[in-house]
Amino acid sequence: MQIKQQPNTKKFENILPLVNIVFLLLIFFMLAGAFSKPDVFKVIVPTAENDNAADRKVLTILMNTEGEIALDDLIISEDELKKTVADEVKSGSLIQLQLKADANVNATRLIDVMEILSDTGLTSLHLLTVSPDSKQ
Amino acid sequence: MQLTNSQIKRTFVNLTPLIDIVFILLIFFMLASSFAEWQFIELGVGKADEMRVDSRSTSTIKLKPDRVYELNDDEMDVTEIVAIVKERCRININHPIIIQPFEGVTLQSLVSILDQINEFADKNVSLAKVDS
Repeated sequence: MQIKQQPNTKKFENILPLVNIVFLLLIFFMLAGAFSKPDVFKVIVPTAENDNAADRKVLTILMNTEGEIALDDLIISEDELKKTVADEVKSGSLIQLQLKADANVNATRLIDVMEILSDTGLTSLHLLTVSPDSKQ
Repeated sequence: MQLTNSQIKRTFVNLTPLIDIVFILLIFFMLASSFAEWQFIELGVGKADEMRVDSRSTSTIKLKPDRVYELNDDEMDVTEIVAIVKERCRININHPIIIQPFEGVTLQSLVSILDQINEFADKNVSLAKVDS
């Protein structure tokens, strides 16, 4: 008489290492990953070798290759940007302004934005970059 | 002889729904996580002074499209420019450096040169528009 092993038992045993790995990956991503809020439009920032760690909790200007400007999740015009930043500076609530611009943006556009911001009373601007060996 | 099935049979909880949920959680965390380490380059946004600069005492770096670089109107290689400017900054720590990107030059090109210059000079670097 032939004794048959349960077919289900064999099937489960085969996928157990996979489940273990998936659990480990899950724990890794839960612990190591930081949640990032999606931007209103995609920008690939330039890479740089400097080692100044940027603070995330400040006002961020977003700039893409189409020339669009967004200030904290809202696409706005240059005049609105100037007015909003000037109001923030005047109220004293703005500590630092960050510019997250696409690497392929025209460099002259950066100077245009800096000129706009110079009228608001702002003294410095942090241009965001990433390390060449780190992916966004 | 009687063969009892219970002696060799182990009871298994069906793991499939658990694995499904774990996979969905894994995909969620993989997509929602960001591992980018943000850095910054500080740019001064003071009111620009309308002044004529003495070209002999200033290093004006012009960035033209197609990776053409000029230092005080002399076309040269970027490493050569950085070396000359570094030497000038060593002699005079407050040596003024002006970077003028032309239309068509990408931000990445500007950041690359800023990055190299910021290693030895950061407070005396200015960005300027090209006179039209």
